[in-house]
Amino acid sequence: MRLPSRLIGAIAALAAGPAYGQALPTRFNIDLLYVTSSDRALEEHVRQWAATLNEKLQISLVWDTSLGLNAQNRILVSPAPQPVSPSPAIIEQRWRNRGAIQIVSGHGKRLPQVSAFEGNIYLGGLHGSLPVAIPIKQDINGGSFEGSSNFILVVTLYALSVDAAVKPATRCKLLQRAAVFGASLPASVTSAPLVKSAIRSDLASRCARRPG
Amino acid sequence: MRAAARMIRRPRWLLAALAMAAGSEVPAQPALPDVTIYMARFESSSAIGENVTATLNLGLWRTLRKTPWPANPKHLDFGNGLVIWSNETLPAPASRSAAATLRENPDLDMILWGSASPYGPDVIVQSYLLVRPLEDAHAPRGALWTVRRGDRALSLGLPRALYVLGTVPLRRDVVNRFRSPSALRLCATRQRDCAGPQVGPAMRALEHSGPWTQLITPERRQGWVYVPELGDQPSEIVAFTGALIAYYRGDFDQAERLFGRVADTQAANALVKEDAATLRAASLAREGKAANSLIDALRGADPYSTYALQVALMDGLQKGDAQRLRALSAELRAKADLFDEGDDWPRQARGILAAFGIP
Repeated sequence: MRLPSRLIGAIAALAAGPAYGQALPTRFNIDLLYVTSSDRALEEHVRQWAATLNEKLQISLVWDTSLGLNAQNRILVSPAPQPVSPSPAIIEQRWRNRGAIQIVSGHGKRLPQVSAFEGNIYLGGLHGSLPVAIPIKQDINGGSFEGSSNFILVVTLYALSVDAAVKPATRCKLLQRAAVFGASLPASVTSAPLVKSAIRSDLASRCARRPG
Repeated sequence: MRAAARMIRRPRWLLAALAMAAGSEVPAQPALPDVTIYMARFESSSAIGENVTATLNLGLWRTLRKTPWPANPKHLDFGNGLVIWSNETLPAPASRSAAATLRENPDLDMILWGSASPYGPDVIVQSYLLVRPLEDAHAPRGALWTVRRGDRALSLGLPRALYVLGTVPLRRDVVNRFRSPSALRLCATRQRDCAGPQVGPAMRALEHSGPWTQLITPERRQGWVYVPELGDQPSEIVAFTGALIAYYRGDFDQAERLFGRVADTQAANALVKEDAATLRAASLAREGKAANSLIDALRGADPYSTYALQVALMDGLQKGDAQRLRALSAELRAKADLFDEGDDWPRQARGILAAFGIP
Protein backbone atom coordinates (compact mmCIF):
# COMPACT_ATOMS: atom_id res chain seq x y z
CA MET A 1 0.00 0.00 0.00
CA ARG A 2 1.45 3.29 -0.99
CA LEU A 3 0.92 6.12 1.41
CA PRO A 4 1.12 9.70 0.18
CA SER A 5 2.57 10.64 3.54
CA ARG A 6 4.88 13.27 2.11
CA LEU A 7 2.03 15.05 0.47
CA ILE A 8 1.22 17.48 3.23
CA GLY A 9 4.66 19.07 3.32
CA ALA A 10 5.22 18.89 -0.37
CA ILE A 11 2.13 20.81 -1.40
CA ALA A 12 3.51 23.94 0.15
CA ALA A 13 6.97 23.36 -1.26
CA LEU A 14 7.74 25.46 -4.29
CA ALA A 15 10.12 24.22 -6.92
CA ALA A 16 12.98 26.30 -8.19
CA GLY A 17 12.31 27.70 -11.65
CA PRO A 18 13.86 25.86 -14.56
CA ALA A 19 16.93 27.18 -16.34
CA TYR A 20 16.21 29.45 -19.29
CA GLY A 21 17.14 28.08 -22.67
CA GLN A 22 17.85 29.61 -26.03
CA ALA A 23 14.28 29.40 -27.24
CA LEU A 24 12.94 32.33 -25.24
CA PRO A 25 10.65 34.73 -27.04
CA THR A 26 11.80 38.35 -27.00
CA ARG A 27 8.40 39.77 -26.05
CA PHE A 28 6.57 38.59 -22.93
CA ASN A 29 3.38 40.47 -22.07
CA ILE A 30 -0.18 39.88 -23.20
CA ASP A 31 -2.53 42.65 -22.09
CA LEU A 32 -6.31 42.21 -22.12
CA LEU A 33 -7.84 45.69 -22.02
CA TYR A 34 -11.60 45.67 -21.67
CA VAL A 35 -13.86 48.67 -21.27
CA THR A 36 -16.03 48.57 -18.16
CA SER A 37 -19.79 48.63 -18.63
CA SER A 38 -22.73 49.91 -16.59
CA ASP A 39 -24.61 46.73 -17.57
CA ARG A 40 -23.74 44.62 -14.55
CA ALA A 41 -24.50 41.25 -16.15
CA LEU A 42 -22.46 42.12 -19.23
CA GLU A 43 -19.63 43.43 -17.07
CA GLU A 44 -19.63 40.15 -15.14
CA HIS A 45 -19.56 38.09 -18.35
CA VAL A 46 -16.58 40.03 -19.68
CA ARG A 47 -14.76 39.93 -16.34
CA GLN A 48 -15.19 36.15 -16.02
CA TRP A 49 -14.20 35.60 -19.63
CA ALA A 50 -11.04 37.69 -19.17
CA ALA A 51 -10.16 35.90 -15.93
CA THR A 52 -10.64 32.44 -17.46
CA LEU A 53 -8.71 33.45 -20.56
CA ASN A 54 -5.91 34.82 -18.40
CA GLU A 55 -5.60 31.56 -16.46
CA LYS A 56 -5.76 29.42 -19.59
CA LEU A 57 -3.19 31.46 -21.53
CA GLN A 58 -0.80 31.55 -18.58
CA ILE A 59 -0.85 27.79 -18.16
CA SER A 60 -0.89 26.96 -21.87
CA LEU A 61 2.08 29.17 -22.67
CA VAL A 62 4.12 29.21 -19.50
CA TRP A 63 3.68 25.84 -17.85
CA ASP A 64 3.21 23.46 -20.76
CA THR A 65 6.88 22.62 -21.25
CA SER A 66 6.14 20.60 -24.39
CA LEU A 67 6.09 23.90 -26.29
CA GLY A 68 9.75 24.39 -25.46
CA LEU A 69 9.44 28.12 -24.78
CA ASN A 70 11.36 27.93 -21.49
CA ALA A 71 9.62 31.11 -20.41
CA GLN A 72 8.59 30.20 -16.87
CA ASN A 73 7.84 33.31 -14.84
CA ARG A 74 8.37 35.50 -17.90
CA ILE A 75 5.23 35.45 -20.05
CA LEU A 76 2.63 37.50 -18.21
CA VAL A 77 -1.04 37.80 -19.07
CA SER A 78 -2.66 40.92 -17.57
CA PRO A 79 -6.40 41.61 -17.70
CA ALA A 80 -6.94 45.36 -17.23
CA PRO A 81 -10.39 47.01 -17.06
CA GLN A 82 -10.44 50.47 -18.66
CA PRO A 83 -12.91 53.33 -18.13
CA VAL A 84 -12.80 54.28 -21.83
CA SER A 85 -11.63 52.60 -25.00
CA PRO A 86 -7.89 53.28 -25.48
CA SER A 87 -6.87 55.09 -28.68
CA PRO A 88 -4.71 53.31 -31.32
CA ALA A 89 -1.78 55.54 -30.33
CA ILE A 90 -2.05 54.53 -26.68
CA ILE A 91 -2.25 50.85 -27.62
CA GLU A 92 0.79 51.16 -29.86
CA GLN A 93 2.71 52.93 -27.10
CA ARG A 94 1.67 50.28 -24.58
CA TRP A 95 2.81 47.52 -26.94
CA ARG A 96 6.26 49.13 -27.19
CA ASN A 97 6.70 50.06 -23.54
CA ARG A 98 5.61 46.73 -22.14
CA GLY A 99 7.41 44.52 -24.66
CA ALA A 100 4.04 43.00 -25.44
CA ILE A 101 3.43 39.96 -27.61
CA GLN A 102 0.01 41.43 -28.29
CA ILE A 103 -2.53 43.84 -26.85
CA VAL A 104 -6.15 42.65 -26.86
CA SER A 105 -8.54 45.57 -26.48
CA GLY A 106 -12.31 45.84 -26.74
CA HIS A 107 -15.64 45.93 -25.01
CA GLY A 108 -18.51 43.63 -24.13
CA LYS A 109 -21.66 43.84 -26.23
CA ARG A 110 -25.16 42.51 -25.65
CA LEU A 111 -26.52 40.54 -28.60
CA PRO A 112 -30.05 39.08 -28.66
CA GLN A 113 -29.08 35.65 -27.30
CA VAL A 114 -25.52 36.04 -26.06
CA SER A 115 -22.81 38.37 -24.84
CA ALA A 116 -19.95 39.14 -27.20
CA PHE A 117 -16.52 40.73 -27.09
CA GLU A 118 -15.69 43.17 -29.86
CA GLY A 119 -12.37 44.89 -30.47
CA ASN A 120 -8.88 44.31 -31.86
CA ILE A 121 -5.73 42.33 -31.33
CA TYR A 122 -2.72 44.57 -31.84
CA LEU A 123 0.33 42.62 -32.98
CA GLY A 124 2.68 45.53 -33.68
CA GLY A 125 5.72 45.15 -35.88
CA LEU A 126 6.24 41.41 -35.71
CA HIS A 127 6.72 41.21 -39.50
CA GLY A 128 4.66 38.04 -39.81
CA SER A 129 1.98 37.26 -42.36
CA LEU A 130 -0.71 39.05 -40.35
CA PRO A 131 -1.50 42.77 -40.38
CA VAL A 132 -0.51 45.00 -37.46
CA ALA A 133 -3.97 44.74 -35.93
CA ILE A 134 -6.80 42.30 -36.55
CA PRO A 135 -10.44 42.74 -35.58
CA ILE A 136 -12.01 40.37 -33.09
CA LYS A 137 -15.69 39.73 -32.42
CA GLN A 138 -16.92 36.60 -30.72
CA ASP A 139 -19.41 35.12 -28.27
CA ILE A 140 -18.28 34.89 -24.68
CA ASN A 141 -21.20 33.03 -23.14
CA GLY A 142 -20.57 30.42 -20.48
CA GLY A 143 -21.08 27.45 -22.76
CA SER A 144 -18.71 28.85 -25.38
CA PHE A 145 -15.78 29.87 -23.15
CA GLU A 146 -13.62 27.17 -24.69
CA GLY A 147 -14.10 28.27 -28.28
CA SER A 148 -14.05 31.96 -27.52
CA SER A 149 -10.73 31.85 -25.71
CA ASN A 150 -9.10 29.80 -28.44
CA PHE A 151 -8.98 32.57 -31.02
CA ILE A 152 -6.77 34.72 -28.81
CA LEU A 153 -4.63 31.69 -27.98
CA VAL A 154 -4.22 30.92 -31.69
CA VAL A 155 -3.11 34.48 -32.44
CA THR A 156 -0.70 34.39 -29.49
CA LEU A 157 0.85 31.14 -30.66
CA TYR A 158 1.28 32.60 -34.11
CA ALA A 159 2.84 35.81 -32.76
CA LEU A 160 5.30 33.79 -30.66
CA SER A 161 6.24 31.71 -33.71
CA VAL A 162 7.19 34.89 -35.56
CA ASP A 163 9.19 36.23 -32.64
CA ALA A 164 12.87 36.17 -33.61
CA ALA A 165 14.50 34.22 -30.78
CA VAL A 166 12.42 31.08 -31.19
CA LYS A 167 14.29 28.02 -32.48
CA PRO A 168 13.05 26.30 -35.67
CA ALA A 169 11.62 23.24 -33.87
CA THR A 170 9.88 25.48 -31.34
CA ARG A 171 8.51 27.66 -34.14
CA CYS A 172 7.05 24.61 -35.85
CA LYS A 173 5.51 23.38 -32.58
CA LEU A 174 3.93 26.79 -32.03
CA LEU A 175 2.56 26.84 -35.57
CA GLN A 176 1.38 23.22 -35.35
CA ARG A 177 -0.43 23.95 -32.12
CA ALA A 178 -1.91 27.14 -33.54
CA ALA A 179 -3.19 25.09 -36.49
CA VAL A 180 -4.79 22.51 -34.17
CA PHE A 181 -6.64 25.19 -32.21
CA GLY A 182 -7.35 27.14 -35.39
CA ALA A 183 -9.08 24.14 -36.95
CA SER A 184 -11.57 24.15 -34.07
CA LEU A 185 -12.54 27.81 -34.52
CA PRO A 186 -16.05 28.41 -35.81
CA ALA A 187 -16.07 30.10 -39.20
CA SER A 188 -18.21 32.82 -37.64
CA VAL A 189 -15.33 34.14 -35.53
CA THR A 190 -14.20 37.38 -37.11
CA SER A 191 -10.66 37.19 -38.60
CA ALA A 192 -10.44 33.40 -38.11
CA PRO A 193 -9.99 32.67 -41.86
CA LEU A 194 -7.25 35.32 -42.09
CA VAL A 195 -5.32 33.88 -39.15
CA LYS A 196 -5.73 30.28 -40.29
CA SER A 197 -4.43 31.20 -43.71
CA ALA A 198 -1.32 32.83 -42.20
CA ILE A 199 -0.65 29.74 -40.09
CA ARG A 200 -1.02 27.39 -43.07
CA SER A 201 1.29 29.55 -45.15
CA ASP A 202 3.99 29.70 -42.46
CA LEU A 203 3.76 25.97 -41.75
CA ALA A 204 4.27 25.23 -45.43
CA SER A 205 7.18 27.62 -45.82
CA ARG A 206 8.96 27.09 -42.49
CA CYS A 207 8.17 23.52 -41.43
CA ALA A 208 7.68 21.79 -44.77
CA ARG A 209 10.08 19.11 -45.99
CA ARG A 210 7.11 16.77 -46.16
CA PRO A 211 7.54 13.71 -48.31
CA GLY A 212 5.11 13.14 -51.09
CA MET B 1 -19.09 -2.88 -14.28
CA ARG B 2 -16.84 -4.26 -11.53
CA ALA B 3 -14.74 -1.58 -9.95
CA ALA B 4 -11.62 -1.27 -7.87
CA ALA B 5 -11.68 2.45 -7.39
CA ARG B 6 -10.98 3.75 -3.96
CA MET B 7 -11.53 7.30 -2.84
CA ILE B 8 -9.88 8.79 0.16
CA ARG B 9 -10.05 12.32 1.46
CA ARG B 10 -6.72 13.70 2.54
CA PRO B 11 -7.34 15.33 5.86
CA ARG B 12 -4.74 15.41 8.63
CA TRP B 13 -5.73 11.90 9.74
CA LEU B 14 -5.10 10.48 6.29
CA LEU B 15 -2.72 7.78 7.45
CA ALA B 16 -5.31 6.17 9.68
CA ALA B 17 -7.93 6.16 6.92
CA LEU B 18 -5.56 4.61 4.41
CA ALA B 19 -4.40 1.96 6.81
CA MET B 20 -7.95 0.87 7.47
CA ALA B 21 -8.73 0.67 3.80
CA ALA B 22 -5.62 -1.32 3.08
CA GLY B 23 -5.96 -3.66 5.98
CA SER B 24 -9.54 -4.64 5.62
CA GLU B 25 -10.63 -4.29 2.05
CA VAL B 26 -7.83 -4.05 -0.45
CA PRO B 27 -6.05 -7.25 -1.28
CA ALA B 28 -2.35 -6.98 -2.07
CA GLN B 29 -1.54 -6.84 -5.79
CA PRO B 30 2.23 -7.20 -5.76
CA ALA B 31 2.55 -7.65 -9.51
CA LEU B 32 0.47 -4.61 -10.42
CA PRO B 33 1.14 -1.11 -9.18
CA ASP B 34 -1.65 1.16 -8.03
CA VAL B 35 -2.34 4.33 -9.95
CA THR B 36 -3.08 7.32 -7.76
CA ILE B 37 -4.59 10.67 -8.67
CA TYR B 38 -4.70 13.62 -6.31
CA MET B 39 -7.54 16.14 -6.68
CA ALA B 40 -7.01 19.51 -5.04
CA ARG B 41 -10.02 21.65 -4.20
CA PHE B 42 -11.01 23.79 -7.19
CA GLU B 43 -10.43 27.55 -6.80
CA SER B 44 -13.62 29.53 -6.37
CA SER B 45 -14.85 32.63 -4.64
CA SER B 46 -17.59 30.53 -2.99
CA ALA B 47 -18.22 27.00 -1.71
CA ILE B 48 -18.84 25.90 -5.29
CA GLY B 49 -15.16 24.91 -5.61
CA GLU B 50 -15.63 22.18 -3.03
CA ASN B 51 -18.77 20.95 -4.79
CA VAL B 52 -17.04 20.84 -8.17
CA THR B 53 -14.12 18.89 -6.73
CA ALA B 54 -16.53 16.38 -5.20
CA THR B 55 -18.62 16.13 -8.39
CA LEU B 56 -15.63 15.52 -10.67
CA ASN B 57 -14.15 13.17 -8.11
CA LEU B 58 -17.27 11.00 -8.22
CA GLY B 59 -17.41 11.10 -12.00
CA LEU B 60 -13.78 10.05 -12.26
CA TRP B 61 -14.13 7.35 -9.66
CA ARG B 62 -16.87 5.80 -11.76
CA THR B 63 -14.57 5.37 -14.78
CA LEU B 64 -12.21 3.05 -12.91
CA ARG B 65 -12.53 -0.71 -13.06
CA LYS B 66 -10.54 -3.60 -11.71
CA THR B 67 -11.09 -6.13 -14.47
CA PRO B 68 -12.72 -6.21 -17.92
CA TRP B 69 -16.48 -6.42 -17.58
CA PRO B 70 -18.71 -8.36 -18.13
CA ALA B 71 -16.34 -10.90 -19.75
CA ASN B 72 -12.72 -11.36 -18.73
CA PRO B 73 -11.45 -14.21 -20.92
CA LYS B 74 -7.78 -13.30 -20.40
CA HIS B 75 -8.22 -13.08 -16.61
CA LEU B 76 -6.80 -9.56 -16.54
CA ASP B 77 -6.48 -7.58 -13.33
CA PHE B 78 -5.62 -3.90 -13.54
CA GLY B 79 -4.77 -3.43 -9.88
CA ASN B 80 -6.20 -0.56 -7.89
CA GLY B 81 -7.03 2.98 -8.87
CA LEU B 82 -6.90 5.42 -6.00
CA VAL B 83 -8.49 8.88 -5.92
CA ILE B 84 -7.32 11.16 -3.13
CA TRP B 85 -9.09 14.46 -2.66
CA SER B 86 -8.43 17.49 -0.54
CA ASN B 87 -10.37 20.43 0.82
CA GLU B 88 -7.35 22.64 0.21
CA THR B 89 -6.53 24.42 -3.04
CA LEU B 90 -3.00 24.27 -4.43
CA PRO B 91 -0.93 27.28 -3.34
CA ALA B 92 -0.41 29.84 -6.11
CA PRO B 93 0.98 29.52 -8.65
CA ALA B 94 -0.95 26.26 -8.81
CA SER B 95 0.99 24.84 -11.76
CA ARG B 96 4.26 25.15 -9.91
CA SER B 97 2.77 23.67 -6.73
CA ALA B 98 1.38 20.76 -8.75
CA ALA B 99 4.80 20.11 -10.31
CA ALA B 100 6.48 20.24 -6.90
CA THR B 101 3.87 17.95 -5.34
CA LEU B 102 4.30 15.36 -8.08
CA ARG B 103 8.07 15.58 -7.85
CA GLU B 104 8.14 15.23 -4.08
CA ASN B 105 5.55 12.42 -3.91
CA PRO B 106 6.56 9.41 -5.98
CA ASP B 107 3.33 7.68 -4.90
CA LEU B 108 1.24 10.12 -6.89
CA ASP B 109 0.83 9.69 -10.64
CA MET B 110 -1.46 12.61 -11.53
CA ILE B 111 -2.80 15.85 -10.10
CA LEU B 112 -6.08 17.46 -11.20
CA TRP B 113 -6.91 21.02 -10.20
CA GLY B 114 -8.67 24.07 -11.58
CA SER B 115 -11.17 26.83 -10.97
CA ALA B 116 -14.97 27.11 -10.92
CA SER B 117 -17.32 30.07 -11.38
CA PRO B 118 -21.13 30.19 -11.29
CA TYR B 119 -22.49 31.35 -14.65
CA GLY B 120 -26.25 31.43 -15.17
CA PRO B 121 -27.69 27.91 -14.74
CA ASP B 122 -24.22 26.37 -15.02
CA VAL B 123 -20.89 26.32 -13.28
CA ILE B 124 -17.98 27.04 -15.60
CA VAL B 125 -15.06 24.78 -14.79
CA GLN B 126 -11.53 25.20 -16.10
CA SER B 127 -9.30 22.31 -15.16
CA TYR B 128 -5.73 21.18 -15.58
CA LEU B 129 -4.14 17.77 -15.37
CA LEU B 130 -0.46 17.19 -14.66
CA VAL B 131 0.77 13.62 -15.03
CA ARG B 132 3.98 11.84 -14.12
CA PRO B 133 5.83 11.11 -17.38
CA LEU B 134 5.77 7.43 -18.20
CA GLU B 135 9.57 7.55 -18.58
CA ASP B 136 9.85 8.52 -14.88
CA ALA B 137 11.36 5.85 -12.63
CA HIS B 138 8.31 6.15 -10.33
CA ALA B 139 5.72 5.69 -13.10
CA PRO B 140 3.69 2.46 -12.97
CA ARG B 141 5.64 -0.47 -14.32
CA GLY B 142 4.69 -1.50 -17.82
CA ALA B 143 2.88 1.75 -18.58
CA LEU B 144 5.63 2.95 -20.94
CA TRP B 145 5.16 1.60 -24.46
CA THR B 146 8.36 -0.22 -25.41
CA VAL B 147 9.24 -2.20 -28.53
CA ARG B 148 12.38 -4.35 -28.59
CA ARG B 149 14.41 -5.91 -31.40
CA GLY B 150 17.61 -7.72 -30.44
CA ASP B 151 19.50 -5.41 -28.12
CA ARG B 152 17.63 -2.36 -29.40
CA ALA B 153 14.61 -0.84 -27.69
CA LEU B 154 12.39 2.12 -28.45
CA SER B 155 9.92 3.62 -25.99
CA LEU B 156 7.13 6.15 -26.27
CA GLY B 157 5.57 8.06 -23.41
CA LEU B 158 2.77 10.62 -23.62
CA PRO B 159 2.57 13.66 -25.91
CA ARG B 160 2.91 16.03 -22.93
CA ALA B 161 2.71 16.10 -19.15
CA LEU B 162 0.34 19.05 -18.68
CA TYR B 163 -3.15 19.02 -20.21
CA VAL B 164 -5.32 22.13 -20.35
CA LEU B 165 -8.77 20.61 -20.33
CA GLY B 166 -11.67 22.44 -21.92
CA THR B 167 -13.68 25.12 -20.20
CA VAL B 168 -16.70 23.02 -19.34
CA PRO B 169 -20.16 24.00 -18.13
CA LEU B 170 -21.49 21.64 -15.45
CA ARG B 171 -25.10 21.64 -14.30
CA ARG B 172 -25.32 23.69 -11.14
CA ASP B 173 -28.10 21.52 -9.67
CA VAL B 174 -25.81 18.48 -9.96
CA VAL B 175 -22.79 20.33 -8.60
CA ASN B 176 -24.81 21.67 -5.66
CA ARG B 177 -25.79 18.13 -4.77
CA PHE B 178 -22.28 17.09 -3.81
CA ARG B 179 -20.49 19.04 -1.14
CA SER B 180 -18.19 16.12 -0.49
CA PRO B 181 -18.08 12.46 -1.50
CA SER B 182 -17.98 11.57 2.18
CA ALA B 183 -21.42 13.17 2.59
CA LEU B 184 -23.05 10.74 0.15
CA ARG B 185 -25.87 8.73 1.71
CA LEU B 186 -25.40 4.99 1.66
CA CYS B 187 -28.68 3.39 0.57
CA ALA B 188 -29.64 -0.26 0.94
CA THR B 189 -31.02 -0.39 -2.61
CA ARG B 190 -30.60 1.57 -5.85
CA GLN B 191 -32.50 4.74 -5.09
CA ARG B 192 -31.87 8.43 -5.66
CA ASP B 193 -31.94 9.41 -2.03
CA CYS B 194 -32.41 7.85 1.35
CA ALA B 195 -31.88 8.50 5.02
CA GLY B 196 -28.91 6.13 5.22
CA PRO B 197 -25.64 6.96 6.95
CA GLN B 198 -23.01 9.18 5.33
CA VAL B 199 -20.33 7.20 3.52
CA GLY B 200 -17.39 8.77 5.34
CA PRO B 201 -13.88 9.67 4.20
CA ALA B 202 -12.83 6.37 2.59
CA MET B 203 -14.68 4.04 0.28
CA ARG B 204 -14.10 1.34 -2.27
CA ALA B 205 -16.33 0.81 -5.28
CA LEU B 206 -17.57 -2.71 -5.90
CA GLU B 207 -19.79 -2.22 -8.93
CA HIS B 208 -20.94 0.61 -11.18
CA SER B 209 -24.41 0.21 -12.64
CA GLY B 210 -25.97 3.09 -14.57
CA PRO B 211 -26.00 6.13 -12.30
CA TRP B 212 -25.56 3.96 -9.19
CA THR B 213 -22.40 2.65 -7.54
CA GLN B 214 -22.24 -0.07 -4.96
CA LEU B 215 -19.48 0.56 -2.44
CA ILE B 216 -18.00 -0.65 0.79
CA THR B 217 -16.34 1.37 3.53
CA PRO B 218 -13.40 0.33 5.71
CA GLU B 219 -15.97 -0.33 8.48
CA ARG B 220 -17.58 -2.91 6.14
CA ARG B 221 -20.71 -0.85 5.63
CA GLN B 222 -22.01 -1.67 2.16
CA GLY B 223 -24.66 -0.04 0.00
CA TRP B 224 -25.50 2.04 -3.06
CA VAL B 225 -24.92 5.72 -3.90
CA TYR B 226 -26.50 7.72 -6.72
CA VAL B 227 -24.26 9.80 -9.02
CA PRO B 228 -26.15 11.43 -11.94
CA GLU B 229 -24.65 12.75 -15.20
CA LEU B 230 -22.50 15.83 -14.60
CA GLY B 231 -23.68 18.00 -17.48
CA ASP B 232 -25.97 18.23 -20.47
CA GLN B 233 -23.01 17.58 -22.75
CA PRO B 234 -20.22 15.07 -22.30
CA SER B 235 -17.20 16.56 -20.54
CA GLU B 236 -13.64 15.68 -21.33
CA ILE B 237 -12.47 16.36 -17.78
CA VAL B 238 -13.69 13.05 -16.44
CA ALA B 239 -13.32 11.07 -19.67
CA PHE B 240 -9.76 12.19 -20.48
CA THR B 241 -8.49 11.83 -16.92
CA GLY B 242 -10.17 8.44 -16.60
CA ALA B 243 -8.69 7.38 -19.94
CA LEU B 244 -5.18 8.33 -18.84
CA ILE B 245 -5.58 6.43 -15.58
CA ALA B 246 -6.73 3.40 -17.57
CA TYR B 247 -3.72 3.81 -19.90
CA TYR B 248 -1.38 3.94 -16.89
CA ARG B 249 -3.00 0.79 -15.50
CA GLY B 250 -2.67 -1.14 -18.74
CA ASP B 251 -6.46 -1.20 -19.21
CA PHE B 252 -6.18 -0.31 -22.90
CA ASP B 253 -9.71 -1.41 -23.73
CA GLN B 254 -11.17 1.10 -21.27
CA ALA B 255 -8.58 3.72 -22.31
CA GLU B 256 -9.53 3.31 -25.97
CA ARG B 257 -13.21 3.71 -25.16
CA LEU B 258 -12.73 6.82 -22.98
CA PHE B 259 -10.19 8.48 -25.31
CA GLY B 260 -12.70 7.89 -28.10
CA ARG B 261 -15.38 9.66 -26.08
CA VAL B 262 -13.09 12.70 -25.67
CA ALA B 263 -12.20 12.73 -29.36
CA ASP B 264 -15.91 12.81 -30.17
CA THR B 265 -16.76 15.58 -27.70
CA GLN B 266 -17.60 18.61 -29.78
CA ALA B 267 -16.68 21.26 -27.23
CA ALA B 268 -13.50 19.65 -25.89
CA ASN B 269 -10.19 21.50 -25.95
CA ALA B 270 -8.79 21.04 -29.47
CA LEU B 271 -5.33 19.91 -28.39
CA VAL B 272 -6.76 17.47 -25.83
CA LYS B 273 -9.04 16.10 -28.55
CA GLU B 274 -6.07 15.50 -30.83
CA ASP B 275 -4.07 13.93 -27.99
CA ALA B 276 -7.05 11.74 -27.09
CA ALA B 277 -7.48 10.58 -30.68
CA THR B 278 -3.78 9.73 -30.95
CA LEU B 279 -3.72 7.98 -27.58
CA ARG B 280 -6.82 6.07 -28.65
CA ALA B 281 -4.81 4.79 -31.61
CA ALA B 282 -1.91 3.94 -29.27
CA SER B 283 -4.32 2.05 -26.98
CA LEU B 284 -5.66 0.05 -29.92
CA ALA B 285 -2.12 -0.74 -31.07
CA ARG B 286 -1.05 -1.79 -27.57
CA GLU B 287 -4.04 -4.12 -27.39
CA GLY B 288 -2.80 -5.71 -30.60
CA LYS B 289 -5.76 -4.39 -32.59
CA ALA B 290 -5.68 -2.72 -36.01
CA ALA B 291 -4.83 0.96 -35.63
CA ASN B 292 -3.54 1.83 -39.12
CA SER B 293 -6.61 3.52 -40.48
CA LEU B 294 -7.11 5.67 -37.38
CA ILE B 295 -3.43 6.67 -37.31
CA ASP B 296 -3.45 7.54 -41.01
CA ALA B 297 -6.57 9.67 -40.58
CA LEU B 298 -4.93 11.55 -37.70
CA ARG B 299 -1.75 12.14 -39.63
CA GLY B 300 -3.72 13.30 -42.62
CA ALA B 301 -5.55 15.85 -40.48
CA ASP B 302 -2.36 17.09 -38.82
CA PRO B 303 0.75 16.21 -40.85
CA TYR B 304 2.94 18.25 -38.48
CA SER B 305 2.16 16.18 -35.38
CA THR B 306 5.36 14.42 -34.29
CA TYR B 307 3.46 12.33 -31.74
CA ALA B 308 1.16 10.82 -34.36
CA LEU B 309 4.25 9.91 -36.42
CA GLN B 310 5.78 8.32 -33.33
CA VAL B 311 2.64 6.26 -32.66
CA ALA B 312 2.61 5.15 -36.30
CA LEU B 313 6.23 4.01 -36.02
CA MET B 314 5.67 2.18 -32.72
CA ASP B 315 2.65 0.41 -34.21
CA GLY B 316 4.61 -0.51 -37.33
CA LEU B 317 7.53 -1.82 -35.26
CA GLN B 318 5.25 -3.80 -32.99
CA LYS B 319 3.54 -5.45 -35.95
CA GLY B 320 6.77 -5.79 -37.98
CA ASP B 321 5.14 -4.21 -41.02
CA ALA B 322 8.23 -3.71 -43.23
CA GLN B 323 6.53 -1.88 -46.09
CA ARG B 324 4.91 0.61 -43.75
CA LEU B 325 8.11 1.01 -41.77
CA ARG B 326 10.09 1.93 -44.90
CA ALA B 327 7.69 4.77 -45.66
CA LEU B 328 7.67 5.93 -42.04
CA SER B 329 11.46 5.84 -41.89
CA ALA B 330 11.65 8.17 -44.89
CA GLU B 331 9.09 10.44 -43.29
CA LEU B 332 11.02 10.50 -40.03
CA ARG B 333 14.10 11.71 -41.89
CA ALA B 334 12.10 14.35 -43.74
CA LYS B 335 10.57 15.65 -40.51
CA ALA B 336 13.72 15.69 -38.41
CA ASP B 337 13.44 19.46 -38.02
CA LEU B 338 10.14 19.08 -36.19
CA PHE B 339 11.90 17.38 -33.27
CA ASP B 340 13.86 19.34 -30.67
CA GLU B 341 17.63 19.39 -31.11
CA GLY B 342 18.11 17.55 -27.83
CA ASP B 343 15.42 14.94 -28.49
CA ASP B 344 17.10 11.54 -28.85
CA TRP B 345 13.95 9.74 -30.03
CA PRO B 346 14.59 10.03 -33.82
CA ARG B 347 18.13 8.63 -33.42
CA GLN B 348 16.86 5.73 -31.30
CA ALA B 349 14.10 5.09 -33.82
CA ARG B 350 16.62 4.94 -36.66
CA GLY B 351 18.64 2.47 -34.58
CA ILE B 352 15.78 0.01 -34.11
CA LEU B 353 14.65 0.49 -37.72
CA ALA B 354 18.15 -0.57 -38.77
CA ALA B 355 17.72 -3.69 -36.62
CA PHE B 356 14.62 -4.42 -38.75
CA GLY B 357 16.82 -4.00 -41.85
CA ILE B 358 15.23 -0.69 -42.78
CA PRO B 359 17.53 2.21 -43.68
